[in-house]
Amino acid sequence: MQQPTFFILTALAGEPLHGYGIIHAVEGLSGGRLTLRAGTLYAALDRLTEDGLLVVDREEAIEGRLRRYYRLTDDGTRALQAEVDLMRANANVAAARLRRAGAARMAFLT
Amino acid sequence: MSLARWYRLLLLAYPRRFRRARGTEMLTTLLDAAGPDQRRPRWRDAVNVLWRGLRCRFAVPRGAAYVTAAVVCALFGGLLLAAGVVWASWLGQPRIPEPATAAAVARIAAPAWPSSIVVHDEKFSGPYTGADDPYRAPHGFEPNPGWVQVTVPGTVADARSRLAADGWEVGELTNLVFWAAKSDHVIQVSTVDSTVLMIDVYRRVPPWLGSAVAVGAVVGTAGGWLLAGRALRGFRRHRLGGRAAMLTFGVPGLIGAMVPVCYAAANVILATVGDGWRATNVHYLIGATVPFAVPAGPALLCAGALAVVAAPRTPPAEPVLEPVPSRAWRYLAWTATTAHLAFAAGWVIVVAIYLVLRSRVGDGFLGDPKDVVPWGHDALTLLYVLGFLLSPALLAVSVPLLVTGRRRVGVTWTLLLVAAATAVVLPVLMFSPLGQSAGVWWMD
Repeated sequence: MQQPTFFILTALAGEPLHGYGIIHAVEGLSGGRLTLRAGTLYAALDRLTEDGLLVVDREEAIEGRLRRYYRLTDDGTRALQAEVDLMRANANVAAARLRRAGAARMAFLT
Repeated sequence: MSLARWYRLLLLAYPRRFRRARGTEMLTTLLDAAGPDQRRPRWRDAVNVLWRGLRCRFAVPRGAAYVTAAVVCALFGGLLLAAGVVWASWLGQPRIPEPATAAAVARIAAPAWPSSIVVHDEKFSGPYTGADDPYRAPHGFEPNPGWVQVTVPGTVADARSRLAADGWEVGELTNLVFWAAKSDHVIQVSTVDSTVLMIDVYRRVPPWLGSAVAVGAVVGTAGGWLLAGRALRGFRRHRLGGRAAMLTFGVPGLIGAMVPVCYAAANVILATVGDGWRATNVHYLIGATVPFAVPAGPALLCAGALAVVAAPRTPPAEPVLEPVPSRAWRYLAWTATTAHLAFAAGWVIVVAIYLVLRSRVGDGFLGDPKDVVPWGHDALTLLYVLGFLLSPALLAVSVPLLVTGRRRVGVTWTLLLVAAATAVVLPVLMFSPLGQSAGVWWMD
């Protein structure tokens, strides 16, 4: 799963959001590291909707503007959970390796 | 220009299907993300929208089978358009020299009286057979396919020096064969028994052909990819029956298209890594393309037509936010459409009757129109005459309606457009030979 996809799903895990809401949330969740542009966002929304990970929750049409709110489907929640589990497992493996390397260095020094 | 207008312009990079489904939504997001005093799009946003829009235009459904089909269609499209460019180059100027011209060219190389002049009108040479292929002319001496062979007494060495003295660009002499070129002509001079020359006179490949073929190939590839994407999206929207029908035409078409595509790819690679690509290689590619293009092209077109015509259209997902046209607009639009189409129908019916009668009696007397159409003759005449006079004048109403109603009403607007087009086309057709004959018969 690519980083923009991961953060879009994460943003929508909390509550349904519209386009700009997702961009804003992703920027906050990533600590400012990831700024989604509208073209990238809608390409991802198209793909994720087609894959059944997102659905439109509701629409607001006011003064010629249209805000469409998206929410995660059960499949979307499962996909995000699977990605979280995978990342956690990967992080655990890396952390264990680092701990072992750190212990070996300490033993060498003492 | 307002920021919204800028973004609307940028969103034109997306295909219409996307703009219908998401255009207003994406515009809202872009405006929401803009700063309070922002007047123009930030360049990063502009590039992102343009890039993603183009990617969306060229998108094909995900999956290896879809991508493979699109690649084959794209390469086949490139090959077909490249072939079309070569074909067009032959229409613009003679492909083979005239026998008299060839004899005059040969006389420069050998002044004796020719013993024979034979025209070899071959459009496509066979598959590439190696360096000894007669078409395998050296660089700079590339000929069109087809030639005039002049057999004349003489020697190769004499011919070579005479041509050089006449200002011809003369190639190297190898195994008693050499090539020479001057302006539009290329000749290959060879000998059988050292005393009789065979002078093959060709028309030279136009210097722009290579570039034109490359442009044709690129445009054809892009067009093939776009059409394949559209057809494949239609395939996905189909139910089982529609998909089966598309596969019936599409699979044989794709297999037929793969043969020349693979052949062309192999030829391009072999020629490029061999002794270099040259314009005459294009003729080999076309020779291989045409026999397969004849069945494969129509089969693929049928599959594409099934995708476009029969595919169930998904309803526009986006609510219409533009102001709904007034009842008066609709009323006027339908009135103008009906009037345009009635005038057009008058013309079409008169011409159809004329054609039917003409097919029956040949060049003979067709009879009095009043006897042929006893019922409704006067009404039809009124429509026919008024259509010619008033239909173009009606454009003064329908064109403003088209402009003001642009993108507001789907079917009504499209029908009005088609109807208004008849007001331009039919008066022009009236002055065609068929239109004039039918008009004279009907009005007399």
